[in-house]
Amino acid sequence: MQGKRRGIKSYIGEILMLGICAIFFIPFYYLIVNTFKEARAATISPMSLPIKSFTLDLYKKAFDTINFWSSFRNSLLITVISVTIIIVFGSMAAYVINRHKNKLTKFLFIYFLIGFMVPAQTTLIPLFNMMSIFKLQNSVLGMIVLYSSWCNFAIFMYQGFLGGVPRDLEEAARIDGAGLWKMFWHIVFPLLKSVTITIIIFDVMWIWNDFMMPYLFISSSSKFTLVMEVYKSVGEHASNWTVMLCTIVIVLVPITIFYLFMQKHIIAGITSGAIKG
Amino acid sequence: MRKTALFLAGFMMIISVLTGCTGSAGKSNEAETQTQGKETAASDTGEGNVSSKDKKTISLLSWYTEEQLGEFLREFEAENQGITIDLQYVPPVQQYVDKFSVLVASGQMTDMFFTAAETKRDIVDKGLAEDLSSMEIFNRIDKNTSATYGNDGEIYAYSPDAWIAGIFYNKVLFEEAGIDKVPETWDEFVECFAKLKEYGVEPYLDYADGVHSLAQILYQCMVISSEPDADEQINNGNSTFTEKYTEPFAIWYNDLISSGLYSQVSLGLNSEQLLDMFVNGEVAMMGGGPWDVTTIENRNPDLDYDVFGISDKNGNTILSGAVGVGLSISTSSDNKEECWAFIEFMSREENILKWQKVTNNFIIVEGIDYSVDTVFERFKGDVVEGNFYLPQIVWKNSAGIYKELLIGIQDAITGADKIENIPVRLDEKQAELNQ
Amino acid sequence: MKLKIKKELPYLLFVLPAFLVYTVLTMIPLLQTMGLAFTNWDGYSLRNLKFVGFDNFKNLFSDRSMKSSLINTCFYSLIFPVLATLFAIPLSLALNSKMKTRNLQRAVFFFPSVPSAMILGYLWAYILAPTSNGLLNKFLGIFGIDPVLWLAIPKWAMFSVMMVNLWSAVGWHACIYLAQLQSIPAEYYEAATVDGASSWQRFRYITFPMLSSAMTVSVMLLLLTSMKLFDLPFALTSGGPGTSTTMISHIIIKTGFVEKSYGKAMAMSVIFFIFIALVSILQLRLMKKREVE
Repeated sequence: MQGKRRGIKSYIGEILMLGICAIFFIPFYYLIVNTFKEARAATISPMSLPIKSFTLDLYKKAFDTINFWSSFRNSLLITVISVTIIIVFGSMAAYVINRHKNKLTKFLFIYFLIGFMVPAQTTLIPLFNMMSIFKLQNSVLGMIVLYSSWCNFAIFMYQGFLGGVPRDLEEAARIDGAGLWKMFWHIVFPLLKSVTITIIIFDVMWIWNDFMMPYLFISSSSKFTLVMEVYKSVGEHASNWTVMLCTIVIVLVPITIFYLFMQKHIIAGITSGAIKG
Repeated sequence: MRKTALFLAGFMMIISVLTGCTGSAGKSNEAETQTQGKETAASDTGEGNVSSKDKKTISLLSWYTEEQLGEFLREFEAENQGITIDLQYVPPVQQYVDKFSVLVASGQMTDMFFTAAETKRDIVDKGLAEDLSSMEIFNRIDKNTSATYGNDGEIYAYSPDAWIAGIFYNKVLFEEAGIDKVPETWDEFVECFAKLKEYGVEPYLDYADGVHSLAQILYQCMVISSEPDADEQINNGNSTFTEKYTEPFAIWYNDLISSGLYSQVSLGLNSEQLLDMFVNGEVAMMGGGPWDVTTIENRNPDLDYDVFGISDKNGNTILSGAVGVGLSISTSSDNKEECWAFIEFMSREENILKWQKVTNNFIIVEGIDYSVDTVFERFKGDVVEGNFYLPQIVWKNSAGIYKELLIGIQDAITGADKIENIPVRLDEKQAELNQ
Repeated sequence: MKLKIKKELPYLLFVLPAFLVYTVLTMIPLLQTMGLAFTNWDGYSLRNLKFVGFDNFKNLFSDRSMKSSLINTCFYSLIFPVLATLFAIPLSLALNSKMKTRNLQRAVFFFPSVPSAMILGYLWAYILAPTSNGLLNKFLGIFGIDPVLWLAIPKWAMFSVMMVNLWSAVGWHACIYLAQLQSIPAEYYEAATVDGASSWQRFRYITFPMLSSAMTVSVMLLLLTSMKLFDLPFALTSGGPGTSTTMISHIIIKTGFVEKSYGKAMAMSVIFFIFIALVSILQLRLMKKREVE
């Protein structure tokens, strides 16, 4: 683990690890490679590189079937705005719960935890009911409000992290007469950068990939999210699986790019956030 | 402290349920005053009125895609400036039924929707669809056929067509295996399995959610051919699943499962993979319907295939088939007149013919000359005679029984349960759902 | 009294937005579900709603599919967290190396947790196709192994679900451990090496105990996701064949949406929720105690 010499042993180790990585990656290789092949070639030789049978036809067909830009825009809007709201609502609530300890905040902590134990399927119809009372169904705004209610994860992470943040700066600010709002946003929030990034990463992934909620609540094709486009081509009478694979690849590209950018923050963020929780 | 907490919890529960009340109760059948969360670009005059010049949007929960219906929608909109149709596609079958149930349960039904065998009961029992029987088109459709989506003389869904499913087979493989004619009895059908297996090709496969089809078709051929109201009897309690279904199932099991002729591979396939295998000649037979024709021809235009229907030991054939899904108008819609207009538009003869080309189904409206340009042409006569059946349409508690049947047959194939027990389970499920 | 409220106000306002959305869209539906479990709601109208007490709860466990889904969920929730942890910890050790390609490795292992389970399920359905053309079977064919009917035989179907879940989750959980590993002071290991401790001893007496708080988090998340599991079996096997991969979450959906017994489905949800809450609290308590030690 620590202080290794780079001997033969560790080279073998590295090659071994890379081998395992390659095996791990095979499903994605399979996915991508076959989207560039003509249909029959995919069945006959699924693992080969598409040299002879290379075609972009499937992607053309996939783009024709799905409304890429419209659903991409919907997914983007929903994800970005929801995550922003989650960060704002969550950090504020977590701050109070952690810093202002009294009976109420203790209750609130448990109150927000209960949400983790509720499996989504069990509250579907009452949820649907609630959404329609507030006219939230079949709308992008509605989905944003819905995802905002997932802020309990953020609250959990923030308040865990805050446990390890010393209060000196806040004490100083209080003595200087700063109000709660100013104190939180100007002094405390900047200290929360790493856990904020972690929360952003997780929530972006969950919300972007979420299928169940849009499936239930969005019915007009103009409001579909990107993940729903994959779903559109699945069903008992589905017609072309390699086109569907293309749709999957298309849907995965944005989230992959996001992932690659945020990669190094993921581990750093988990350190600060999750463990202290 | 404990007591107050419990009291508070109970109180909150009651409040929540009551809040739910105000939410849903408003969506009752008298929905004139209630604007639902649909995209009704409502005119200020409130009531739907075709002559009103304001823009109206009617929503349609659809079994068919934009690709299939789009042309019809645009034409209707062109003729009726001021009406826009918002198509909300959900893939059939189970997903459509699920979405439908959610919308029903939360009072958010669209203006129009398609009624399928699986949802028919719900619609009848809960009065979800308008009675369309006064529409002219129904004078040209056989009364019994209309009754598929009707009850007591009322008709709740418009459908101009019916589908019939059969067994697709690969003519070349049949020839090579030494099968010289299409099987006309069950035993000949089983023999095909044996010959194909001997030849070295997989005789027949289903996809995982369709493994019940052969057993069900055998039941139809054996029982419905002599007792067309067998399933009605089960509904009324005059008979049971055990009484009617045990024998066909036993024969199916012995001839195909015990003998090892039917492969368990079916349980791990989805419909995509099955179609692929058939098209590539990896399996000689598969069950399918008119909806598969376009896909088969696209994937392998050179495939030499045809279709036949299964018979029982005595050659009785009752094909699997039903009236196609029908268009219905929701009783909670604010725009019934517009919806009515759309259905009348679809029932024009030229549109029925156009629609037939989209679905490849059989037209059940009398007096229309058409040709089915697919292998299913051979079943045209059966449609006219009404020689098709689907238990799902008749069963009370259809969706629950169907699911139990599917799971049961899967269990029988894997050996998790005995085939004799499956009809018993159906009876138990029926009793449970009747409570 | 008034002064106190005035003083508390800013704090209350800070919590209010989160509280409002969460209550309206998470808590109230939960309470409604619990309330409706005691009625004869038919999933359509709230007229004629009658209070039926514990009727819906009575025959819950006699239902055949309910029983098997209960077994499946328990089986899965016991085995999978153990399995995942057994793989995640060594993986985290391996990723904690000084290898040049370690960032690439971390990326590759973590990535499967990124796409949604629905997408993974559909993708793996092709890899696990039961014919000799299925990718995995083709691979096994190289070694002369006959094609396995992955999703067609009950025990293999359950195995497949676990395998895909493991593939997608192990990297994610390894990162949780990895994060904690990086905070173990190097001096501990140096001191141990000086004392002549073997690799295994270093692991057992330094690394493993230091990972305990990461383990608590990881296991809790694994337990929660295992109990609530829905997406992956739904996409991969539709709960089949038969009921071999049907979990409690699927039964609840089936009872409600397919069989239209909404009251019963709500009752199942209530029991399910209580079960999850109890298990989580129990697990947390046990592991927190262990952490302290």
